[in-house]
Amino acid sequence: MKVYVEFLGYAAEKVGRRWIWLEVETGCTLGDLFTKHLGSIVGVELSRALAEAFARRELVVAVNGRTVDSLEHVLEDGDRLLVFPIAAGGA
Amino acid sequence: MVSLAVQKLYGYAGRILEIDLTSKKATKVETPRELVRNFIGARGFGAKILWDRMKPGTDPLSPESVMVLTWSPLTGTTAQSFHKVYAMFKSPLTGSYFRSTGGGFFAAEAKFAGYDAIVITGRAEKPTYVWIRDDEVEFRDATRMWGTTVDGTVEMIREETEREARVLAIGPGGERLVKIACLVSDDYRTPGRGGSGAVWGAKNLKAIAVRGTKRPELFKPDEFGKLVREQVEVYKKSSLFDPFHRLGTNSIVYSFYTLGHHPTYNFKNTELENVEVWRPEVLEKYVMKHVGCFGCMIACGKKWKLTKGPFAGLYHDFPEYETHWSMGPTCGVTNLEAIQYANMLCDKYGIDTISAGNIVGFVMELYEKGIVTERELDGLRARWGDPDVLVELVRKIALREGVGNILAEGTVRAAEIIGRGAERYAMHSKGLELPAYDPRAAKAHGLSYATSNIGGSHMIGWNKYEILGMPERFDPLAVEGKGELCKRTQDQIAAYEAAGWCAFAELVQTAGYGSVEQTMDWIARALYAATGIEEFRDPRYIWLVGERVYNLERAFNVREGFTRKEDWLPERFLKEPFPRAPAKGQIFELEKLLDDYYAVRGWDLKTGIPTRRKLEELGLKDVADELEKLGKLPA
Repeated sequence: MKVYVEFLGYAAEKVGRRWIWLEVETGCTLGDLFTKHLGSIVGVELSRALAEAFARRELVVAVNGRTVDSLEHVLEDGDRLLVFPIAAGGA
Repeated sequence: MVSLAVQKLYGYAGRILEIDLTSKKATKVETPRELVRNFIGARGFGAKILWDRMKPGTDPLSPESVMVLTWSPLTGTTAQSFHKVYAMFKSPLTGSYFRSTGGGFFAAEAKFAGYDAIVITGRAEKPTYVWIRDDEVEFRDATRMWGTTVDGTVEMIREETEREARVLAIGPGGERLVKIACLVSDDYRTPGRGGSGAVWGAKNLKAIAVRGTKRPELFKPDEFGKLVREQVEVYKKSSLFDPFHRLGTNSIVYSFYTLGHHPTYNFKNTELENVEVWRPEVLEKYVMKHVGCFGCMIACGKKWKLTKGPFAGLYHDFPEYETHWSMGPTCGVTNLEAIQYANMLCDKYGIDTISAGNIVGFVMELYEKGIVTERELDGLRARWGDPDVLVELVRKIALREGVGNILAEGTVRAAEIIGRGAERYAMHSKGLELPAYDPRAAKAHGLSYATSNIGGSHMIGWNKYEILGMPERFDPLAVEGKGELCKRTQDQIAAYEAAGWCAFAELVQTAGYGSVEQTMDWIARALYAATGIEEFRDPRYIWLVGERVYNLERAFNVREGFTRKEDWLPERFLKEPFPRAPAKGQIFELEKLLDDYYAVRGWDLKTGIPTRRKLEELGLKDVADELEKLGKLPA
């Protein structure tokens, strides 16, 4: 199955691209996506750093517009992921 | 009654300045110890002074109307981000209590001049500005600058006073009593919402300029210095620091759209073509310079330069997140240059960008539905997405020109005047135009829109738990437990706003600590080190003051006749399901959420009025007595 991953802010800068389609296996978790799939493209160190930033709540991952809070989250075919540094809005 | 552990008022300036524009009299009174202990400062001072001084039913635009400008015991110290000026008044837009806040340097300068608050009453015979130089207070003729934009006014006042004077002024919007007019500082920070500018305009008050040379004396300066160093370290390691510093609130326009918080086309939809123009790397290209408020290393303000298009050459303060939305997606506009130009017009004319954009979106929907025509809009074809219509309507509202004269009354009154079912498309709560979050996509946040004492404000209960999932995640679409989450957030904001802090700073520090409790504990320690007031040592007391302030503000509205039926959101959110992921199919469950919220608040379920028990628990027995005397207290 395929998932679409979009990056914003420093995540986009580090990864070096704004979006990417990834072919993943059924039952793939967000953790697998970071370590296995993203790692093969952007390098293991960077993908691990991104996963750790997510665990520290410095990076937010939204799957189909809903934030997720666990690397155990299971992805589904056609999911759209947005990976962005935490930030906030106001007037 | 607990007595103050320390009699001398450390941290505070020790005096409140009362300005009566009718008699041109300036009076300095000692800052009351009880006020200090019970309400800390800033929003707390404002709520209490307004409750005491403003008779129920007072016309906000009458000479009897009172405005309170406040800051806090931490303002003007080395503590980070305590630069806010708080304006409390009865709003001409909503008829309710109002608190509006802006950054910049005015508050610190006014503290240096030796004041903890400025209370403004009366009406000057002719255009006036007030010049405060430490103890000297002068009422000066403002005829020369009347009719001028904010920047022109600041320039002229600085010529007549001092180059370094800090100025809070109104523009032509406030002079013309535009109901969404605001106060604007010399560096374009604005207590923007609720019509504060109209209150000044009605008083013939063009500006207040201030220069001060004093410094607050602290109770334990060494201890305070240590706490500031701790704060700076927490800021530096906070994951929010870098995004805020690099791009301010602009860093989240695109991601919030994805999270479904970003309504489009006057809240009719949640999708927009070409939304990619708000990606951070696109917005970053416009940034020329970082600017900050007094004593704040975050420096979230940005100066933008436009180099192409019809507005090329423009250099001005950037549009914040809400302004991008109000001038952009809610009007279907994706032309960033036009949005920036409209933003600049609002700053110079002195009107609220959120309400202004919301009103333009309202007009565009009325035009689409055929409720208003080109003829009634002075020849404007108000089609969705037309940047020229946006700019022209903003100008007309600010100057009350043509149809702008009706729109300048705000969406509620404009809809009444227009008739023909227009009120269905007025997107507001209590008359305050709604900002950039869809209540169906974050229920506790939406509940705060509905119940807020100032109407549809995002800042009264900005719900970080739902919107960002920080410091812990709550499902934004769940209904259960949202009364508690909404109350907790509103009370925390009221608490740190009584300490005069900036909302962005709280987010940065909380992200750095990873917990709200640690942030509130830091505030308590900083307040104690600055003031020596024993009660402030305990973070639970700071929370209590937050709840006290929130309930007092509620009581002000109760006295003005507000009840449960004003805790309301437009029908669109209650009946039309949210059209796309992530909140697809969601509506806003208003009545259920209100019941839950009132129960948690200890308010009467039927009327939404605080009970005597709750008010007494918060040390507000006198407030309960007055409401009872007026027959407003639930049995």
